[in-house]
Amino acid sequence: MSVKILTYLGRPLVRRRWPLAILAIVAVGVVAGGLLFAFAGSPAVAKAPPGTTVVYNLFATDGYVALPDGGAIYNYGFVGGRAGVPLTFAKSVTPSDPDGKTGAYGDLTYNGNGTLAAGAPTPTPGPITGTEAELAGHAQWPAPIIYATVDDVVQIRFKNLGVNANPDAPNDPHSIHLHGLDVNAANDGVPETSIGAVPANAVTPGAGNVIVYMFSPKNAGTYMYHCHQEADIHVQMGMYGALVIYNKGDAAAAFGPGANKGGKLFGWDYDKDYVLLLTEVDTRQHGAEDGIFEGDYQGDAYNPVNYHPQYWQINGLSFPNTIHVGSGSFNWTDWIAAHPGYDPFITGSVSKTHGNSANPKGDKVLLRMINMGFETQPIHMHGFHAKVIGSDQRGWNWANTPKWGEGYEKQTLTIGSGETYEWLLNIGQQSVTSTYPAETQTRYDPSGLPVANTDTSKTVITAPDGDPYIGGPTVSGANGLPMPGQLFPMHNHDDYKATNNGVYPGGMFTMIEVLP
Amino acid sequence: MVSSAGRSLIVVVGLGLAVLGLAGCGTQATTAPEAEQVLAVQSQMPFQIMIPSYLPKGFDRKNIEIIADQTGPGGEPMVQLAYRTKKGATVTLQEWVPVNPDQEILNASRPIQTKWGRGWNLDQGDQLAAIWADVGPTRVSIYTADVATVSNERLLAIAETLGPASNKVVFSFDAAPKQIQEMAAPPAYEAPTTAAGVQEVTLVVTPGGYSPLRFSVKAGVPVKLTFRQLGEVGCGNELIFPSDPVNPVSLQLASATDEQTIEFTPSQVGIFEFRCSHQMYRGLLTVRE
Repeated sequence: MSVKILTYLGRPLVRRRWPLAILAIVAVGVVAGGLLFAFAGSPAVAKAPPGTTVVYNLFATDGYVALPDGGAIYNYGFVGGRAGVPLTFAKSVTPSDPDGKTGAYGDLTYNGNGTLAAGAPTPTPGPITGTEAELAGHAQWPAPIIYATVDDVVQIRFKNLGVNANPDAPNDPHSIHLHGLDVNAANDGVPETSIGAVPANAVTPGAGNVIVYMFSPKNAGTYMYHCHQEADIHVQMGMYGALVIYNKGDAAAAFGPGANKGGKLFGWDYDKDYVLLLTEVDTRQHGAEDGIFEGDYQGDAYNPVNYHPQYWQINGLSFPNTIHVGSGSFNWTDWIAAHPGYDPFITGSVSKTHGNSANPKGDKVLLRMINMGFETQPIHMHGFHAKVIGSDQRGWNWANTPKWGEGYEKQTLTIGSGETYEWLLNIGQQSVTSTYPAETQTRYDPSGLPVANTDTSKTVITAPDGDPYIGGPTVSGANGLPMPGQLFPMHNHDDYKATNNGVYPGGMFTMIEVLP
Repeated sequence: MVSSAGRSLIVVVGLGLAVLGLAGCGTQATTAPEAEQVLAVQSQMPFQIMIPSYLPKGFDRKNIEIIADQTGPGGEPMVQLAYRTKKGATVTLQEWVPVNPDQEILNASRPIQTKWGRGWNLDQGDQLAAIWADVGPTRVSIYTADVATVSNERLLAIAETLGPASNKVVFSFDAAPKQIQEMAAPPAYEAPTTAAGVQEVTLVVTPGGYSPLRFSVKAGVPVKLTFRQLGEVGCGNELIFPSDPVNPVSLQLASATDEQTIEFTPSQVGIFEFRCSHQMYRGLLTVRE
C-alpha cells in the first residue's frame, strides 16, 4: 500500500496583497467607529412585563445569494421577522454564467433590498397572497435573528411559500427546529420524530397551512434555529438563524443583538453583544439543488459525504465583507439594513467604566459564537484572551473566578458544529494606541492615509527569489509613531478557511477594533 | 323583592344566555373589573370579546393588559388580554375568528374536547402550557409560561368559563374541576376489499411519515400491501412490518421508484406497530375481527 504525500514545493509565485480599498475603509472605520462611540447613549428602556408574548412571522422559500468573490449560489432559507417591525429584506440576486463543475454562477445582477413598512406579514392560510408573494423567492442568508427574554412566550407563525426563484428546484417541506431548547419530541421540529414538516405551497395535502410554533425559553443564552427536513441539505442550503434569549432586565432585550446595548449573562456584565454565526458553503450542494451541478469527477450526483467547502462565513459574510467592505455588488448599508443584528465587525471602547471594582475599565463585549456549519472551527483572536462564561445555554461558573486575567480565558476557541459559546471580551485589555516605528511601512501612513504594502518608496524585505515580500519593510527606525485605534484580526486558524475559495485574506475572518 | 344588584344580575344572565345560546347550566357570577376596559376596545373587533369568569387565585383583573392592534395567526383582527399576578405569572388570551380554521395549526398540540367543542392542548412540561379552544366561530388561545401556577387543567377551566364581557360581571357556567380529555382519534383507514377478496393497501412513506398513518384490516382475509416512498426518506426506505406480529418482516426499497409488495393473511386481532428500521417513522396496523 502506498501513501501519496502531497507537498508544496516552494512558495506560490503570486503573492496576494491586501487590497488598498480594504485598508482605506479600515482607516475610515477607525474614525467613524470613534464617532459612533461618542454618540452612543443609553436611553431608558421600558421593562417588558413577564410572560410577554413575542410574535415572529416566518416564511420558507428559496433565492440566489452573492458569493464574496463575485459569483452567486442558489439557496433555501427563511424570510420575515418580528411582527409589527418594519421589514427590510435582501432581494434575491439574479445569477448568470452557470458553472456545472462548481455548481455556482460566475456573475450576477444585484437587486438591492425590498421593504414592507408594515413588517413581516402575518401568514395567511391557503394560497400565497399578494404580500406574501413579495417575499417568495427572497430567502435571507442567514435567517432573521429571533430574540426574546426568559419566560416570554414566543410564537413563530410559519408558512412554506415553496420555491420561487427556481420553480424547478425540489419543492420540499420545511420545519423549524429550535436547537438547544429541550422541548419534547413532538415539538422538536424533526419531521421524522416530531409533527411532520410543513409542505410547500403547492397542491399537496396540508399546503398553505400556517403552523404556530410556541415556546417559552427558561435559560438565557445563545441558541440557533434551523430546518430539520433533510438536514444535510437544508442546513447547507441556508435554512438557519440565530436565536438569542436575554435575561429579564437586560437593556439589550428590547433591541436584540448588535444594538450596542448591555445586559448580564451567567453573572457577568456586558456592554454590548454580537452574534457570530459560523457556516461554510460547498457550492456543489447548492448547484445540485439548483439543477446546474453536472456531477463530480466520476459523474455521480452530489453526495453530502464529499462535503468540501470553498467559502467560510461569519453571519453569512466572508472577509472583507465582514468588515463592511467588498467589491462588486456588495453594499454594506444595504446588507446591514436587511440583516439587523448580524454585524460581525467587533468594536469596543477602552475607556468605559463600570463603577464596579471587579470590572476593569473597557467595554465588555459578549461574543455569541454559534457553529451552524458542518466543520469544527478554531476561532482565534489576536491581542486578547476572552473569557468563556458559558456554552450551550449554560453558565460555566465552575470555570471562572469572578476575576479577569484568570479562569477559562482563551485566545483560540474550538467550536464544533451545533455548539454555542458565550465568549466575553474585555476591550480594556488593550490600550487604544499602538506605536509603530516611524520609518516602517505600515498600514497607517503618517498623514493618516493608508498605503499598501506595495509602496515601492520604502525599503522592503525581499524574499529569497527576489519578489517583494508581503510582510513589509525592514524595521530600520524606531522614532515611535503612536496611532489611535488598534485593529486585531479574529479569524479561523485553519488558515485555509481564511480564504475565499483559496484567495487570502477572506473567509472566516473579521476584526476587533479598539476605540478611545 | 329583588335588590338592584340582583336585578342587573338577572338581566345580564339573560343576555349572556342569549348570546351564548346556552340554557340549563348552573350560573355563577363573578365581578369583572376589567370588563369596562375590554368593552372599550369591543368596537375594534368584529366579534364578541370574551373574558373568563374563572382565573386562578392571585390574578389581577383590574390591571389587565389589552392589545387590540395585533393580528391572529392567519392575519385576522385579534385581541390579546393578559392577566398577571403580583409575582409575575401571566395568563394570556388571544381571540380571533380564523379565516380558515383547519389551516391554522398549533404545532405539536393534541386535539382535546372542551365544552365548546374542539380544542387543542400544547403541553411543554414545565416550560409552557397552551390551549386553543373554538368557541363558536371564535378561536381562543390561552397560554402561560408559568405552568407551576397555571396547569393545563386550569387553562381548560379558564377556557370553559369564557363569556361575553359585561360592564359588571362575567359568568361561570361550570365550576367543576377540569380534566384534559383527549379527542378520540378518528377511526383507522379501512383497507378496501377487491372483487377477488383481497384487502389492498398502499403504504407510502414520505419525509413527514407514513400515509396512511393507521389502517385496519379484517382478520382471516388476505392482505396485499404495497410499500413505496415519496421524497427523501432516509432510513424510511426500510419498513419493519408486523405481518406476523412475532416475526415482523423487513421490506426494503432499493430506489426512490422501487415498490415492495407483501401478501399475508392476518390472524391475530390487535393493534401492531410498523416502523422504519430506526424507529423514526412509526405507524399502526389494526387487525379487527
